[in-house]
Amino acid sequence: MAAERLTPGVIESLFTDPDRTAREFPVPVVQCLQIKPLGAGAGAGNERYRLVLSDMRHYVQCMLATQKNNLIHEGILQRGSILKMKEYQAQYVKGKSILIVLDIEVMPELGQPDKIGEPKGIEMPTAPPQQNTTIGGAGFYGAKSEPTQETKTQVQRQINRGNGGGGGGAGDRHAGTLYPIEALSMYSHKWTIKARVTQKSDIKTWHKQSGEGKLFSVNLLDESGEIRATGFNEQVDQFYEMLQEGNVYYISTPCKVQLAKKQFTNLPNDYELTFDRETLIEKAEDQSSVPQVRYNFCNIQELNDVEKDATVDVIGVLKDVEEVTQIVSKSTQKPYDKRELTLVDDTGYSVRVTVWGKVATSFDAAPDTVVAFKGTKVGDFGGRSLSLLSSGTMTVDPDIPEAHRLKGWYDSSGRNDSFATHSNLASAGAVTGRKEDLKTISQVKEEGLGMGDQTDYFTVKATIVHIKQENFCYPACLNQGCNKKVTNDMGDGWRCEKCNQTHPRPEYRYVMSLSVNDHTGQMWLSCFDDTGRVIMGGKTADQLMELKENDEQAVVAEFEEANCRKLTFRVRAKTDTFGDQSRIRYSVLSAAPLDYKSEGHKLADLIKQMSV
Amino acid sequence: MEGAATPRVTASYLSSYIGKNVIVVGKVIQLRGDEATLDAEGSINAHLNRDAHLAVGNGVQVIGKVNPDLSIKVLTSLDLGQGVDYNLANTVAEIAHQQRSIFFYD
Repeated sequence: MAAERLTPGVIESLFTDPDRTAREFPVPVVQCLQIKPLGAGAGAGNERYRLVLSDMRHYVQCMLATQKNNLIHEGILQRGSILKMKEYQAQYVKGKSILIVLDIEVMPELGQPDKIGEPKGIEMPTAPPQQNTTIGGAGFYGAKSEPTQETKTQVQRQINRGNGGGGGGAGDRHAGTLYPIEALSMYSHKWTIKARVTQKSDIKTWHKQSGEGKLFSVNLLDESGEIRATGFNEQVDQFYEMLQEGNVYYISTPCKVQLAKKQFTNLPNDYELTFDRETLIEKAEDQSSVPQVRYNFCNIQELNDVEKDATVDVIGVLKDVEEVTQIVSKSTQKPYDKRELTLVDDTGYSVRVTVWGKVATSFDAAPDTVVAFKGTKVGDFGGRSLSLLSSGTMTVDPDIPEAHRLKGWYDSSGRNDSFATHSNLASAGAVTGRKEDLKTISQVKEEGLGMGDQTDYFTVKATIVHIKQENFCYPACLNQGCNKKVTNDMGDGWRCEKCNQTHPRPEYRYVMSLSVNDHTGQMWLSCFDDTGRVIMGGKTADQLMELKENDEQAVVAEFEEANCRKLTFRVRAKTDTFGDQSRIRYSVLSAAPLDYKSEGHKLADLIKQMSV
Repeated sequence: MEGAATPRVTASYLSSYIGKNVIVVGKVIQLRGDEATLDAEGSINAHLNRDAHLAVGNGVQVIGKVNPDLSIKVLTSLDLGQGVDYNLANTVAEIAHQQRSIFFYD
């Protein structure tokens, strides 16, 4: 009986597990239920036939390879015929699973019985990925089968089979295609990852003239690495509720892999994902096989070698917690909550960490607890400082070996240690991050620092020999942060062009020319308000101007006081051109009184070198 | 200023300046009424005068005459408080001796 020759279940099987099918049903036998030509107005050579083949359980649409068209023309293959599928390919076209049949052998001895069994259509509820396959063109599918297509269908099928399905071992449905996150790239066309959502952002909306939209993003983590994924507009609705922080999901193509926009993420991956409408996300039954959070700690001593603006993770013991303060951003006028903490670790170093927003206001960790920070930006304030990024996290007393080790160290000895800070590495007044290149005045002139196009920075230890008393300050706009010169042209107030405002009185700011000398030579330096105050012993320009109006002599005395003081100046040298004349201008970035101890040592070293 | 040259010294140099005035920067180890013990790369006995108000543990700069027994009769003293870099002070004395022509006029 024909029915016995048919291989029931093979159709489903070849979509879901082609390897197994190849082994167990090397030559599926099916019944042809329907033959239809594909018209499409093509020429004679492009005639293609669509078949419906059944294995008694399921039926499936098929396309017959053109090289077999003759079977239909000659009437060998008819409705009801039983045939062996010797070569075929499972595909998806336009949301349907179909079979491309490349080689068949009709079994005419079985005749053309009526439809055998009660075959049902093969289910394809989830939209499979779009394909670029074109049907048509003889021999196109004669080419080697595309294994990626096979496995893709396999993946989709397995998902449809519902939970707890068989397939592979270890409950891992996607064994053949599970990629580590590190392996994702723009060149991988189909993949599945199993990852935990370590962070989910809120839904953010934007309104621009080009349109408006919404998005959300998640950070995904597995044993190999981390990657950020974003969903826009429709995908927000699709996936936002489904993805929960802390849970593990399977995510499969289609899903765009793009170069990461580093300014929006703190994760160290070159790529990031963008969810598609067709992206498949599924919660994994096995929630534990993926790590919880991945830290890449840098100890505080090493921070000194890390570049400014880099992102690191740190762990340490809270030595000091300050109160929450509010500062208003100068650029956006928005208030921000911040809190400074001091973190120490067993390298003997301490560092200031700043946390912002909610983390700052709801901060409740007590000093002496171990805290881990993921995603902090390294700054060079006071040597080295850390700032928690908005995408970063803080975990108090995490249950990881580093934390236990730190707790042990702190309890035994760390508590009473004194800690070095990176600011110790700088001599007073200099900013770490820029090399401390101490020059003598003659060296500055000889080396032509500041000549040409480049701006040079150097430090010089010199004594003030003269301060120009004419024009030592200028009237500036009263507004905070605006230092533009204001003019009293009209006589009824001081007008600032930049702020478009008029003030009753200006704020005087220093703009002094100093003549300084060291044992090698002389140079003129210009300095501004902040340095001016240091030099004039803390007096503001306003005070001096007042004094000038009341008592000329007193002003002269002030300048005398300031004179002949020896300071360390941090200078920027740049060439200014007025017409044909170009001069090197030396402007002071900062000035600090001498730290006699370190200076003394420097001199002692110099002397020792001499006598060697 | 001849004869009034007062070189900076540490304990080891005292023997070369018996009967002369010297300057010593050291740390106060002990106070016993009119006597004090200073540490300047070695122990020095100092016989204080009326207005010397020293504190143990503080740095002090004393100017005085060296006695044959290598103690110092203090003529004036200056309390330097905490945070004295004794290394630096000792180095100054050393270097001064290395560069005699600059620092000592005898």
